[in-house]
Order: sequence, then structure tokens, then C-alpha cells
Amino acid sequence: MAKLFQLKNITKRFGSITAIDCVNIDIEQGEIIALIGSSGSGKTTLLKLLNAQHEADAGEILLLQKPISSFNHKQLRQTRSKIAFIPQDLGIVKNLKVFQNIFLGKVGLTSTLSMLWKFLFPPKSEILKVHKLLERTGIADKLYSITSTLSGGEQQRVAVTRALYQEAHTILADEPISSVDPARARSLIKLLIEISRENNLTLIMSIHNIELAKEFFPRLIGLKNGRVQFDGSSVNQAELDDLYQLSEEQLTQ
Amino acid sequence: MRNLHHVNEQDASGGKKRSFVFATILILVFCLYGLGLGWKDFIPSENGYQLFKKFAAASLTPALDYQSTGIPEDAPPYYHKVLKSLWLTLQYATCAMCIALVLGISLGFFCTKSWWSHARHSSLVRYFLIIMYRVARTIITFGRSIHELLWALLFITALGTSPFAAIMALAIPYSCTLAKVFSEIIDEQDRRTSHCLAAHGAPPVSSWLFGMIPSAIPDLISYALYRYECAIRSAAILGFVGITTVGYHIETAFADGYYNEIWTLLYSLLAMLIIIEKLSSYIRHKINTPSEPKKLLETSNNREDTIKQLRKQSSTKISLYVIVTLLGILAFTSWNTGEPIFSDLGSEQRAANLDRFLNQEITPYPVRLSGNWADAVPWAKELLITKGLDATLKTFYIATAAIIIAFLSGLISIPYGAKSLNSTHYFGVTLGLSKTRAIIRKMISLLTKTILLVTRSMPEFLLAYLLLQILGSTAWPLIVGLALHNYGIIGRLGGEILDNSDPSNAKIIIAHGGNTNQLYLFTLLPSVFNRLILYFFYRWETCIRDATVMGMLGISSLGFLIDDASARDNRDEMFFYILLGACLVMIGDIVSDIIRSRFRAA
Repeated sequence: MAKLFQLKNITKRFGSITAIDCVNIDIEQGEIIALIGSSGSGKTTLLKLLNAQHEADAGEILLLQKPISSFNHKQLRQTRSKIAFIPQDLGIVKNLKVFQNIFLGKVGLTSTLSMLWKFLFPPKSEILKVHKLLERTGIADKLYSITSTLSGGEQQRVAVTRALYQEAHTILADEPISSVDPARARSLIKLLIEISRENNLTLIMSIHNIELAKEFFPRLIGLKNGRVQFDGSSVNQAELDDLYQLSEEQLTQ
Repeated sequence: MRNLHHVNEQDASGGKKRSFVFATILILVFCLYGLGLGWKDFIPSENGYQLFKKFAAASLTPALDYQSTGIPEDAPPYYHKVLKSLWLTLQYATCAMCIALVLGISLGFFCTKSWWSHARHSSLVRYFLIIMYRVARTIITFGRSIHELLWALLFITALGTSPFAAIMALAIPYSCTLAKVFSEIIDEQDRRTSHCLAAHGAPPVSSWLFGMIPSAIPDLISYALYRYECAIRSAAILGFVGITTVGYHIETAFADGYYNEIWTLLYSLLAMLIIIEKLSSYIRHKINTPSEPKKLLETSNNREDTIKQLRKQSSTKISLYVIVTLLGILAFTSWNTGEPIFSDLGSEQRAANLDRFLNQEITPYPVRLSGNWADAVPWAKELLITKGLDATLKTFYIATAAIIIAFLSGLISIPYGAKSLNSTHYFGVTLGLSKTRAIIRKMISLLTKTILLVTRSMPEFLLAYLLLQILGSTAWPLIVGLALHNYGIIGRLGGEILDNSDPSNAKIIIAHGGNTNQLYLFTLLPSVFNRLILYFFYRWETCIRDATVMGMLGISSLGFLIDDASARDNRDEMFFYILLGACLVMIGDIVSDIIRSRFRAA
């Protein structure tokens, strides 16, 4: 089976700080992966490297065997439009209606003008599609609501629905559960994993909560100081202790 | 140790605020000294006092008919004349705003870098974008630095009096101001959503349009509405350079001594402005509070029916549609009634006027004689040294004195203008006022709010004009007129800031037995002071701009020199002083921008 992503000796620096240090990872289509590690271990940077928001300083990222760095502007946009990215703050526009936010999932595949047209005069077929997807994520009755009137949990579901509408092959989620209570965190992870399995999507999520990661994710990648500490289906306590053990200097930073 | 540190920090920032207030007082005294003003100049002369008595008495009986006895039988009724001047004011303002919106949005687009792509632009594209940015910035800085009254003066001298001159005089500086503020509003938006869309492969303009603009729209609309209000004020005072809006009729009525007629005009102008303000705050409120969706009435198994139901419940803002339609009708009527706006622009007479104006009249006099531009230098030097510098300095003093007076008196009024400080409860915490005290407090608040509303609605130029008649020819009327208008704005804005600031600290003061005055002085004021200072400098900028024309009322400053040169038909001199004023405004803008960005960073 062809590898979806192949990271070969990837290094990324920001000034004097090395965020990702010579990382090698292979990811197959349909894998469900949790990225764990303390703050500043390089989780976000790794996710951003995967859809080319950052360019690597050394090494190569292959997407379906092709190096990302060789893509021109148009190819890059096409690549990104097939990868859903859910940032920590969800990246939704609060004072737009829910269906408009979901339309934005296809923003990479649509020209500015036709997107504007779709916004102002939403075609019936698309609305039907969005409604169906919202039913899947459980907020179908919010189709026409202003997004800011939704609760935090419901807004997360808007972001997930947008990723579904995008018809991406991969969902990258950057600590999407860090700002909600444990019950909501659990149900969101469940939802994301279910949806990924149903549609054979690759899901890569950075997550702080080790318990949830161990419970739900078949593959765990531990990062420390930009290096892969472990990569596998299970992790023992010693490895975890080591992962979260910070130097005195890091603690006072 | 930690606590001690905390106290020191508080002390230091408290000291900063104190020194800011003391510094403003010192500067105020210095400005007044520079203008040669004393407090005794403030007392009206005997004549002025008599005039004031007559004028004030007339306020109770605004004219319902012509005061003059020599009106021909077949003249249209008086209310006709009043309504016509009001309509003309509204019409010019509306047309100007239409142009300003189109130009302002297009210019504003080039005045922000927020839509530029971060990645992989060719250097040629980037170079082109930077040039566009610089050009747009230069245009808006220059367009704004000349006051609309001066633009009117230029257009009238170049083309002759016409609706076109009036509308363009308003449209040019207004588009530039809109462009500047629009681009600032957009630059202040959170960029994270826009970055997220870019991560989804959105083209740069898409991620800008859908990621940043939606959240900016409420602010953009409320600023546009505020500018519309300002445009009506500006249109009214265009009367002072001969365009027959409300200001024109006020000036002629004063010259004839028809005080009751003036009050009719003042009241109706005020009513129009207050209606527009209330309307725009209603729109703002509607936009900022998304309506709670109603409960689903019936559920259906059919997906299309369900969607229809959902759609129905969500669209509840019919009132907004009504207002937008009304504004549309108003804009349409403004463009299509009265004298055609672009009618005789192509006429030979106007073309000849324009040609003469551009190619001869504004060329410096010695250059016209010799044809050598080097001769312009001693000419300009002469103008600058004999009158120019002195007048520029005076203009600066007037503006600075006015904004300081407005700010200091605003600080005193702010607590009485704020909603949250004038009821029996402060954010749910009872203040324990006795009944009589509560009523007294309410009355003072109502009075303050009315004064703030009236002063901010009145055009500063008109206030200065009326005061000038009473106080006589010193700079005081200009300062007071400018200060009154700005006092109204700062007082209202300060109240809004207080109402929207976090009440938790203030609640503790009440829990400790403090009263509302202590609440304001010791918790609210310190926490919002930085924002007030930002606003102080922003209004200072505007004051300098307004002060450049104030002198046209006959007080020695830049406006006076401009008006004087125009009266003597020395267009070259007039143009020179206008540019001098523009320089002053631009310097003021730059200084204020620098100071504001310092305070924002602090």
C-alpha cells in the first residue's frame, strides 16, 4: 500500500530554536494517530509541516510519493484543499451562519467570486448536502444559526462538519479538545474517529490528555524537543514519564 | 515583597495619569498665552450681552413664518424654505457618501497589507503591490489633510458654485477618511481564521475576504453610519462658502437679525441629526446582537421541508431590511432630484474657468510674470514669514486648547453619561441610594446626556459662528465651539467605554462601601484611562483639521488668511495657505499616530 505521507529527516528551525529535529515518520491512508508531548515539543509545527504551512529547513516530505517542496503555488493549494486543518481556536468565522462556515471547507477549490456567489445565494443542492452532514455531527437544527450563538461544543462540531464537507483525505487537528470539559472532549474524539473510520480518512491529532490518547488511538507518536521519542500502538509508563520530564530550565521558561 | 512590588507599580501608573492631566493643563495655559487670551476676554461686551439676551429669548419662539415683512405675496410658505434647505443638506451628504463609500472601499483595499499572500509571490508582484500601497496611502493622507470647506472653496473658485462642487468637496476628504479607518479596522482583526483558510488552500484574497471581513463588518458599518452623520454636519456648514444648505440660511438670517428664524433652522437641523444618530445606533444594535432562533415549530420527515422551516425561523431581522431599503430610496432620490448634478460640467464656461484656475490663477504671482519657478521661493518665504507661520501656530494653539478643554470637562461628565453608573444597581449590585438621591442622580444624568447629545450633534463651525457673535472677535469662540463639539463626543464615548468595561473590580469597591464617584475615580477611570488617551489624540488630529478652517469666521489664523486671500482674488496665495494648512494637519496626523501606537503598545 502506498504511503500517504513520508517524512524523511525533517528539520524545522525558528531562529535559534529547533522545533523539529530530524524526524522520520511514515503515515498510511486511514491511520488514526495521536501526537503527544509537552508544550513546545513540536506537535503543532509537525502538523503545520504536513500541509505545507511551514517549509522544512532540511529533509523531505513526500505526499503520495511526491515531494511537497517541489509543488508550485497552484499545486500547493490543491494539496491543502484535500487536507482539513482544525486549529485550536477552530478557525471558524463567528459572525457567519453555520452553513456559510461549512461552505468554507471548499474555499481552496473555489474561486473568490464563485465562493462569494455561493455565500449570498446558496444553491439548494449544497444546502441539502450540508444539512445531511450536520445531521451526522448532530447539529442539523443549527443550519442557519449565526455561529457565535452556538455553544463551544457545537462550534467544534461545525469545524468537524467543515472538514467532512471538504471531502479531504486527511484531518489534522491541533489540540481541539484543550478548551472543553472532559465529557465534551471525549465525545468529540469519538466523533472524529468514527467519522474518519466511516470515510477512510487519515486522522492526526495532537492531544494533551494521555488517557484519552491511549484509550482511543491505535497509534501514538511521542515528541520531545522536536524528536520522535516513541512511535507505536502502546506506550509504557516509563516512556511516558520520560516524555513529560522537563529540565529545570524548561520549567521556568 | 510581591505585594510591595504591586503597590509600586500601581503608584507609577497612577503617577503617569496624574502627570498626563497636569501636563494638559500646563499646555492649555501655554496655548492660551500664545493666543494672547485671558479669562476676561471670555466676558461678552455690553453689545454682545444684549445680543445674547435677544438671541436666547428667541429660542423659545422659533419662527413659523418669515420674519421679514417685505416678502412678496406669491413667495412659497416659510416651512417650504426650511424643508428645502434641510433636503439640500441631506441630499448633498447622501450623494457624497455614495461616492465616498465606493472610493473609500476601493482605496481602503489598497491601504491594507492584510490580503497580501504570505507565500511564494514573485518579487515583481510584490513590488507592484508595494507601489500600489504607497500610492493609495499618499492619496488618502493628502485628501484628508484638506478640510471639506477648503475643498469646497477650491471647487467653487475652479468651477463655480454648483451641486457638483458641494458633493465633490465632501466626497474627496470623506473617501480618504473612510479608506484610512476601514483599512485600520481590518488590520485590527484577528488573523487566525484567515490563516486557517489559507491552510485549506484558499487563494489569498479568498482567505482575506471570508476570514477577516465578516468579523469586521459590524465595525465597518457603524463607522460608515457615523461618517454619514458627519457628512450631514459638513454639508450644513458648506453654507458658509455660499452653497445654499442650512448654514447659508443661518448666516443670512443672522445678518438680517431674524433670530427666531435661526432657531427654526437650528432646531430642525438638530432634529435631523438626532434622528440619524438614533437610527444608526439602532442598526448597530441590531447587527451586533444576533437574534436567538425560535423553537422549531414542527418537525418533518422531509429534508427539504425541514430546511425551509429552519430558514424561516432564522430570518427575523425585517426591520433591518426596511431601513436598508429606505436608505436605498434616499440615495436614489438624492441622485435624481433637483438640479442635475453633472449637468453643465461639460459646458465651455466651466472648462474655461478650470483651465484659467489651474494654469494661471494658482500659479504663484512672480512665476506668472517671469515664467521661472525659482521665483516662487522668495515669494513663499515672504508669505510664510510675514503671516503664515504665525497663523499656523495660532491654528495649532486653538486646536490644542480646544481638545484639552473638551477632554478635561469630558472626564467630569463621563460618569453621568454612563448608563451603568446612573441606576439604583451597578451590574446587579445594589447601591443603596435613598429615593430622593436616586431621582436627583437620574435628573443630573438625563441633563448631562441631553447636553452631550446636543453638543456633539451641532457642527463645531456653526457653534463657533454663533459664539463669535456673542463673545466678540477673540479666539475664544473658536476654541469653545471646537471644544463643545468634542466634549459631546468624548463624553458619550467615555460613557460607552465605562458601560462595556469589566465590572468585577468595581463591584468590590461597592462591597467595601464605596459610592459611585469613588467607583469611577478609583477603579473605572484608571482602568480605561489608556483608551481615553488614545481617543484624546485621535480627536486632537481632527481638531487640528477643523481649526484650519475656523479662522474663516474672521479670527487671525490659517482660515482667516485663506478667506482673506480668496476675497482679494489672490488665488495663488489662497492655495499656498491651504497647502500650509494641509502640512500642519499631516504633521498632526503623524505625531498622533506615533503617540497612539506607543500608548497602544503600553
